[in-house]
Amino acid sequence: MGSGSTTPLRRADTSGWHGGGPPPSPPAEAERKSSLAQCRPALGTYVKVFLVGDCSQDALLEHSLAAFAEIERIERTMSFHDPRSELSRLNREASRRPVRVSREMVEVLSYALRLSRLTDGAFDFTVAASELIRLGVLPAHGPAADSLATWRDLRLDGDQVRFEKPLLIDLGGIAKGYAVDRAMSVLPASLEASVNAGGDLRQRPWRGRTVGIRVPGSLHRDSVVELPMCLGAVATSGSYFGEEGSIVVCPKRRRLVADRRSFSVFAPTCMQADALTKVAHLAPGSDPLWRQLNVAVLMVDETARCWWLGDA
Amino acid sequence: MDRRRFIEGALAGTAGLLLPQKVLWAETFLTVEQAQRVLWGDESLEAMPVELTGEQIESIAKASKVRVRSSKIQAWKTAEGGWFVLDQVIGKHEYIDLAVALTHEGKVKGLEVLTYREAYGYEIRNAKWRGQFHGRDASERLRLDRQIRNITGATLSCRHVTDGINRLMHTWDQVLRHL
Repeated sequence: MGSGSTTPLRRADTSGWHGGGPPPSPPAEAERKSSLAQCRPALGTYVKVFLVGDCSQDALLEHSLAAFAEIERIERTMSFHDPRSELSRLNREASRRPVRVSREMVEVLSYALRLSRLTDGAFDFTVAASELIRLGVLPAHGPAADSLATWRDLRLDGDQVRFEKPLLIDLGGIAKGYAVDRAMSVLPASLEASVNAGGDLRQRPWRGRTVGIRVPGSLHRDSVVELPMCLGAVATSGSYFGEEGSIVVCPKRRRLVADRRSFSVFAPTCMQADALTKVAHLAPGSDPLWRQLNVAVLMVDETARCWWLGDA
Repeated sequence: MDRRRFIEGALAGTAGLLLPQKVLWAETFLTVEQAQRVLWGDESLEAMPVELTGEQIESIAKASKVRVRSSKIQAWKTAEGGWFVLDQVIGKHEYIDLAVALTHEGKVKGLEVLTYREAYGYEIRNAKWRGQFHGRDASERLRLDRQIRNITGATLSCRHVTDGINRLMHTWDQVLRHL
C-alpha cells in the first residue's frame, strides 16, 4: 500500500495507513464514494436528506440543496398555515368561483380524491381543518367551513377546482409525503438517497436496507423495531408524542382518534404511504384495499408486538 | 415532569458529561464551514463572539418568552452587517445544534441543523443498531445504510426550533444589531 509497513500486524490493520508515508490511494469501490447528510426544519418537522455517490461532497451538497429547495417550494404551495400559499387561496376563493391550480396541486388533489372514493370517505382531506382550528392546531385565517361538507363537494376539473359548499382543505395528511417524493425526483438516479421528513421517508435503492419503527408510547423504554425496508417508501402515524404527535381526525365523528397503536404503511411513493396511514388508523381492517393498492401495512403496539395487516 | 427537568438540567450541564446513559441517538449533518458556505456563499465572515450580560439575558427572555440558556454566543458578522450564529435548542425530546443566518435587518435568511440528538434516546432492539454512531467520522466512507438509520414514527414537531429562532431574533434586536 505504499506505506512502507512490513509487519503482518500492520498489514492486517484495515485503516491501511499508519502515518509512516503518504496515504494510499483508495482501492475499494466504497472508498471512492462520498456521503452527505443535511437536516433542516421544514414541513413542521425535521427533514433529513442523506446522499451517497461517486462524486465530490460539494457536488452532493448541491444536490441536497436542490432537494431542500423543492421541499420548501411544495411547503409554500401547500401550507395551511401560510395565508399566501396556493392552498390558502383555494380555501378562500374556491367556494365562490373555480380556481386554477398548479400541476402539483392537481396531482395531490387527484390522488386524495381517488383515495376518498376508494375508502368511501375514511380518507377525507376536507374534514380535519375545522376540528384542528378549534383545537388551535391550525390557524383560522380563511372562511368557516360548512360542517356537513365532505370531499364529495370538491370538483376537480382539469386544473380548475371548485367547492360546492364552503369547505377547508387541509393537506397535512398527504403533502409531507408528496414533498418527499418531489425531493427524491430532483435527485439524480445515480445517487443512493434517503429523504426523511419526520418519519415519512423514501429511500433508493431500498432492497436489502432496513427501517426502524418507533414503538408507540414508549419514549422512556426500549423502542425501535428494525425491519427490512420494502417498496421504497414508508410513513407512520401514531400518537407517540402526546399533543405534539401526529393527529388523525375521524371523518365520521369529526373528532380526534385516540389509539395506542401505530400504523406504518409501506408503499411505492411516500404520498401514498403518508395518506394511507390515516386510512389504516381509521379502518385497520381494510385488507382488500391494501391488496388492491399493493401496499403493506404494519401495526405496532406499545409492547413492540407487530402485525402485518392483510396479506403482506 | 421531574424527569424532564432533570434531563434538561443535565443537558445544559458542562460539555454533555452529565448526559444520562440512554442518550444514544446522535446524528451529524453539515459542518460549520459547510453551513457558512450554504448560508452566506462567498461572503467573508468575521468571527465576533458575544457575551450577553445578565440584564440582556433577562430582557431577551422576557421579549421572546423563551429561556436563554447560555450567555455566550458564537457569532460571525458579514461585511454587510448580516450574521451567522451557532445556537443550541433543547426540546422535549431533542437536543439540537443549529446554524442560523440573519440578514442585516434581522430577518432569518436560512438555517441548518448541524447535530441532532434525542435526549431520551432509544434502546435499540436489534443489537446491530448499537454502536452505529460510535467512532463515526468523515474519513469513514461507509455506505448510506450502514451510516445512517432510517427511522419512522409519529412526526416530531420542530416547535422548539421555532422558539429558538424567536429568541435569536430578539437577541439580534437587542444586542447584535448594535455591534
